[in-house]
Amino acid sequence: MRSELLTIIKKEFRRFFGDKRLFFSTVILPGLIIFIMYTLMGQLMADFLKPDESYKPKVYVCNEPESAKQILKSMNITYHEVKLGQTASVKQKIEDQKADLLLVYPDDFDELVAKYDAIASGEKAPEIEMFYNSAAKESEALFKTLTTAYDSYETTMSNKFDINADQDVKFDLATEEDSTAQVFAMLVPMLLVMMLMSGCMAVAPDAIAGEKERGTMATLLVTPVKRSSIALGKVISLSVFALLSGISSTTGVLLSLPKLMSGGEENLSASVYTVGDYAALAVSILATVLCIISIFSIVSTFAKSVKEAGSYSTPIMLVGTVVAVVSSMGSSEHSLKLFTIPIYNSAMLFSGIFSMKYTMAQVGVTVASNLVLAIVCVYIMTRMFNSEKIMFSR
Amino acid sequence: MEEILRVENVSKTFKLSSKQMKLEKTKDKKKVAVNNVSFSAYEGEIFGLLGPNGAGKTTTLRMIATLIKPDGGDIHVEGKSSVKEPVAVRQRIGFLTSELKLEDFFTPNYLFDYFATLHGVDAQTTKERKKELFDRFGISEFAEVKVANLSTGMKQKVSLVVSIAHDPNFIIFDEPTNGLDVITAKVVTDFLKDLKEEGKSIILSTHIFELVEKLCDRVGVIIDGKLVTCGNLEEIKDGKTLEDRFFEIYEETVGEIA
Repeated sequence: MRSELLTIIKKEFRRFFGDKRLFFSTVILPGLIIFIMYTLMGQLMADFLKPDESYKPKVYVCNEPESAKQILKSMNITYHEVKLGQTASVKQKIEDQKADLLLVYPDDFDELVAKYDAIASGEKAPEIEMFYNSAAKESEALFKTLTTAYDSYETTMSNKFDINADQDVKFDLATEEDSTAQVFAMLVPMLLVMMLMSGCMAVAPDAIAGEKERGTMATLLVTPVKRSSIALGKVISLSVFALLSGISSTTGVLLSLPKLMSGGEENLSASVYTVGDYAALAVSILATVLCIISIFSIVSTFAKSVKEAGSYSTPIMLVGTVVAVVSSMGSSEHSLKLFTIPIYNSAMLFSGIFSMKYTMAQVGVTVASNLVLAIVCVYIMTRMFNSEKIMFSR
Repeated sequence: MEEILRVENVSKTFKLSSKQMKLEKTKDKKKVAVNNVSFSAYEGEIFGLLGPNGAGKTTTLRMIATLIKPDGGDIHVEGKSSVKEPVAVRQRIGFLTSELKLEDFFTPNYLFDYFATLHGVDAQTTKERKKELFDRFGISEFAEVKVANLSTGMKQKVSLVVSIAHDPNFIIFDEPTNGLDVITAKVVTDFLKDLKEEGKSIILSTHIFELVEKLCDRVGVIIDGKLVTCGNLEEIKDGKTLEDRFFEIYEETVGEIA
């Protein structure tokens, strides 16, 4: 059995690695696309969030009191003063995106503020009206900036106490590692499960349903090779291909995530993890891939064509994605029993590894559970290879 | 002569899908493809299974090759039961049918080695046999060309040599010259004769009378899943051409041809 198993694995490897187009589209392309896509998204988000410093906003102010003049000046915003009767035309300009913002103070604003007693009067507080256009990027950004500035100004008027006012003291006691781990744990586990599933879905249908469809599987079935060797040979070789695809995608995510999260400005590096963390991750990924590829292999064995295998695999992919999302949203404290649920356990474990909160027992149960499922799937596949209804029905 | 194949009361029924029922123009959900068929083939002979399309020839051959299991009865190849010992049967047979394809990505050279290894043939024997068969069929100069880039005739030749890479004593050919050009068909026909001379036993299915007359020692006529007659070619012909005799048998069995 060992010799025929090796022969089948070698042939699958030769097919995969010998076909440059297949190798490129399955292994190189996913990582490359993810890296380029996430980097571009990060750059675009950074560009969008970063104000254009050369831009001169067109701001109009009505009834501006002496006390508030300092606010816009301190922000180097030049503005035009308008009278109450002119505000309608300014609003029209803002609507037409020819002006950015209009600030309208009530008459005698300072006096109203001085008189106002929030607790005793129970009346509505004096209001500054700020007109802007959310469809215009600059107007929207200016509105947000000025809202923050005026909120701060309001706070200074009745300042009783501050929180964390001392800029020199480090109040957030999280280490750089903790912060990085939190960011990675938030996104990577879910993406990782999805990437591994995509990798499996990319290779299984063609290698099994494709062989059935093309008639090459029947040629193999007429040889004295045991069906279990064919099933195991397929699962092992497909796992390697899916793993390579998953590694490529994950590398793309890890390299581009800092750029996606911070526009490349903050220091977010995967080097915070130890060799032990990476070893636990590698073992978990391997067991997960075996489990996922076994499921997709069964589906592909059942299907009559690559197209049919693809349509059967899509709902499994969606269920896997939902499971990954749900598990990554839960708390970090999980009962060990939950780690017996395939795919769910992988997403939970990945989350634990990336947030540096996992135990070896969790790794052990996850790996064992996934391996058991893979073995069961190979057994089912062997039975399916023996079924003429499944292998030869049209 | 030693009996190499024994087919005993073999039957096979297929369930029909609604699509197949429409195609077959029947309301029956089942189709009896092979109905209680029995015959034997002997060492060093070519046995021809003759019948119209859909008669049950391919189903019978697929059961002999262990690709599908009979619902009833058993088949023995060199004494091994295809039902109880399918792996042992597969070790003893070569099976060539147009349904079995070779992977387009690989070369004839690689595929020959691959299938020989799966049959447990050692490297030296594989090398010698490959040279002999490749030279004989003119494959040598295309040995490193991917199957995808070969002509239809060359693909058929490669399929043939790959199916007998392990030098089996009993070879099953399902419509061996179907779809071949006249030159390749002659090469295959001559090869079948040579195999017989080497002492190999062959069973082939066909609906081509000339091929049966040219090659077969004994013939079984199968119509609507039943083996209606079986025996020596000359006995079956009964002094007539095989074609005339076949239509007589057909009309005796099914009725007048419309």
